[in-house]
Amino acid sequence: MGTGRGTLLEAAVSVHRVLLWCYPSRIRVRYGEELERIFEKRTRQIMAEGGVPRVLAFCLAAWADVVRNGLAERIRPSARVRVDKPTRISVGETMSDLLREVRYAFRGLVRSPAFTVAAVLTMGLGIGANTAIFSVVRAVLLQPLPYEDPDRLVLVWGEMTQRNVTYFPHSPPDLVDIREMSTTLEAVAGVVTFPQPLAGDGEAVQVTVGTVTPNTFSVLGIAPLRGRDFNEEDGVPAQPDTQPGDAGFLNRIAILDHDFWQNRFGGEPGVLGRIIDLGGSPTEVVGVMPPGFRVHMPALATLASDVDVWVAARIDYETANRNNVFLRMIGRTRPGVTLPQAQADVDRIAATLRERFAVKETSGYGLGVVRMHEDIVAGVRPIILALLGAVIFVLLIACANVANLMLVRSSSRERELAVRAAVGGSRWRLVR
Amino acid sequence: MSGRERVGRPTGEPEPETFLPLTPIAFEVLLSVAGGSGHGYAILRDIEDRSGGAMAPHAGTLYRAIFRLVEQGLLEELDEAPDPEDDDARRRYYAMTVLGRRVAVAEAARLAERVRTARSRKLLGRTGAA
Repeated sequence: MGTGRGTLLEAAVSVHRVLLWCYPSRIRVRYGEELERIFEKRTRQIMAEGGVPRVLAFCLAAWADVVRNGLAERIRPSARVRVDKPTRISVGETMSDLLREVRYAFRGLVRSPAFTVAAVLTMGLGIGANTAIFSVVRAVLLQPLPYEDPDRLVLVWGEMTQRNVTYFPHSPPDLVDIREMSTTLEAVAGVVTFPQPLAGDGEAVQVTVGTVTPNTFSVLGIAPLRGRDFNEEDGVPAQPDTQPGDAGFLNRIAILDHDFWQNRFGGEPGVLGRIIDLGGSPTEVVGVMPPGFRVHMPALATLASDVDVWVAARIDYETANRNNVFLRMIGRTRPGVTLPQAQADVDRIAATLRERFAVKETSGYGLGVVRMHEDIVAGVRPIILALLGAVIFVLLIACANVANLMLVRSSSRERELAVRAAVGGSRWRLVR
Repeated sequence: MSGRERVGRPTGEPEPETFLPLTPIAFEVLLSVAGGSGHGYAILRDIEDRSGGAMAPHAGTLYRAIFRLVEQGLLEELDEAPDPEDDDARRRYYAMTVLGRRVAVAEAARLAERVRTARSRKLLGRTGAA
């Protein structure tokens, strides 16, 4: 036989040897050598009788035969299992098996308290840390905002690229222009907060006032718990230079925060319709918001998070100064509008405003649209995800440590396992 | 192949009919060792020779049949080679057990019955093909 044929034979036998691993070990160990010897003998014969193509055809068929039979044996339950166990195991038997395993495991844990304490503490640490961080992830990153259809809520920011200013608030006239020119935003609302003194009804206190456009709560989809929501009339501008009692004077209209209503007014229902002195202006209370209500904003918006009194902004949009920017803008997109579509829409509006007002052109005025939820969590998302990654690794390390402990423990149980195997315990039972 | 026969499981032996029908390759293996024990390669050649080359199983198929027969108690491995001159330490020799013989007889009877039926339906002549 030439060297080439010898190499071919060696290669064919090597492939055959590798393929023998398809068989379960009990068969491979017992018959593998014979299988290989017969394959080699037949290949030599065919080599002597015919050419390389015949040899290759034989080898391919023999290899396929080994793979097919080996894998078939792997998935076939062994005869011993069939003889030892009934083919159908009832649910009751499975449960009693399970209970027996649990009792056995419990006895094992009681027998070795040091191991039990170490394993429980290690796993407790890993699982506890994961649970704690995941509850933060769930509350902050996964839970939707507590508003109606929150996926359609966006924040609209101003920016002045020539002056490196981003996250800029809006002036009332800009808000009206964006509202009227936008084709993708169904509604926009403006919010600003500031402290004001509240006099009367006892000691004067400083409260946080949230001044909002009258449609703010309807844009968010939250109705007051008591009383009524703001309406357009609540935002009608007051006549200039009028005093309380003058004709044409309009009270400010307020809705109380639930906690503030409870703490300051003792949850008294009669507060509705009452006139309170807020910042020196007579203000009529018309409603109370539901408990826990907040207008969530990113920290960059520098708005107070705990507002005590919500007041409808009486703004004269005709005469308001376009350079006086203070309103943070919340928008609700029309159904089916994507974020890029909304961004393209506000880009068009910003271009129009730049054409109209020279100051906006020189400052590089622009508008940005961001999903409300994404924008609010943007600052904390990387930190929370990093923490989550860290505690997952802590859990993995804890699992590895407990696995090591169990390995050490199982090596000391060799005698017990040998006895159980000898009295007929199946491998699966021993593993359990 | 030498003419030694081994004793199978003497007590609690299952009925031969519970093993029927045998797979064609299992029956061929039992036929090969019916005349005496043999090693794997001899069984392979015997099957080929008897079928005139029509049945040429690969070693993988043959050994799967062999270890199933061993598992079922129809075939057994011999501790020593039946013919000392033929003894190759690496070879395993297989012989039919008593149960294996009873099962082979039952399978042969079952096939003979099929042949009789085929004859009665005029599918087979007295001497062979119809």
